[in-house]
Amino acid sequence: MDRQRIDKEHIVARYLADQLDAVDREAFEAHYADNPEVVRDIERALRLKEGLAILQERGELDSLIRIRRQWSLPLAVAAAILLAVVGIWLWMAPHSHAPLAGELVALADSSGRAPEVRATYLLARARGASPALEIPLPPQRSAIELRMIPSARGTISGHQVALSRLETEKPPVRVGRIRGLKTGDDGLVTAYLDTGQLQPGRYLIELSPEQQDASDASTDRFVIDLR
Amino acid sequence: MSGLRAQLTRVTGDAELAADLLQDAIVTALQKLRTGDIEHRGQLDGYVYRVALNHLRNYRRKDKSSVSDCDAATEMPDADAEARPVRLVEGRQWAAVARRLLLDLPSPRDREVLVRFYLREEERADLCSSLGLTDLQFNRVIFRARERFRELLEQKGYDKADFLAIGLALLGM
Repeated sequence: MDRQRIDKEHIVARYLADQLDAVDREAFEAHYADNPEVVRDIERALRLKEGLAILQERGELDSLIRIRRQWSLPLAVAAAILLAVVGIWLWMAPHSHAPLAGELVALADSSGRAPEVRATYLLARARGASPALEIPLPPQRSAIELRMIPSARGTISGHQVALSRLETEKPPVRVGRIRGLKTGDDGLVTAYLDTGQLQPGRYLIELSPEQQDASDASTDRFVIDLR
Repeated sequence: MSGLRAQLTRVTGDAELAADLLQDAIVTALQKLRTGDIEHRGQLDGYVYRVALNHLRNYRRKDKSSVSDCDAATEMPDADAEARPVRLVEGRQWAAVARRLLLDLPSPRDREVLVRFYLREEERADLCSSLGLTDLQFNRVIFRARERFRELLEQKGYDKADFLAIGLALLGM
């Protein structure tokens, strides 16, 4: 008999309960004769049995078995709060997407419904300074389709579009950015604005190749006024 | 050996008888040591436990066989009264540790497993079947409980050895 078997098969407790057959009992007795640490285990098990027996005599044992931990209620409350927070976060997550997307379905709400495209605008780079494009905001949430002509040509793996809010005497504030946009068969890059997540005001749209070494000259900038 | 003594007292229901049985086991072990049947002093404790627990087992078997005898049962000594001296000294400490252990176990089911296995001495297979436990679950409960009990005894200073071999070494025998 070895230590592993003694532990795994709970030999000490079963020996004390007279549950071993004669062969195992003798093997165990021979083992612990040479192993004082096993004798200590036996002594410990006897103390546990005695301790439990005294609790039983005092009438405490049944209530101790049934008792719920005192911290189980606060823990349950904490777990419930955590669950609620996570649930709310998950529920809210679809609503808090960026106001800019490369595909219309990316603007879908929690029910999976994408907003309707109310207007389409073609954005092209012009020589010299161009006035801001005025875009009226519809009263209800909808999508605005932006079709942009990229200046950068050649082997471009993809484009990125950034949307920033412009305010007087303040640096632009980035409110959205999308990557991996492909040029369509018509040579245009398409993106969508979610009017439900944009406030009226002036915005800068920057279209550029995704390559890290893309020069500033290859970036197309369009200014729009949402009203 | 206080746990051994307590168990002898509890099972026999007689503190004097328990003391006699333990003394007999010690004397037998010492005789074996003198005659060379026990090779070295380190085996003494194991031998004492072996003899004493055999006494205990024989007593229990005899006791079980006479349970059906109503007259004999009514003549049994008052176990509580006889065992009280032992319980007042160390048993109270072990009971406190056992209480702490039960409270540390995470669920009523785990506590029930411990009590039914150690105190009521139910067979593992019966327990698993009755509580719907796998062997793995059962082993985990018992192993953790055993380790926790050892830790608690050590923390409280109740795990000190009172073994015969150590006593003899101190006496220079």
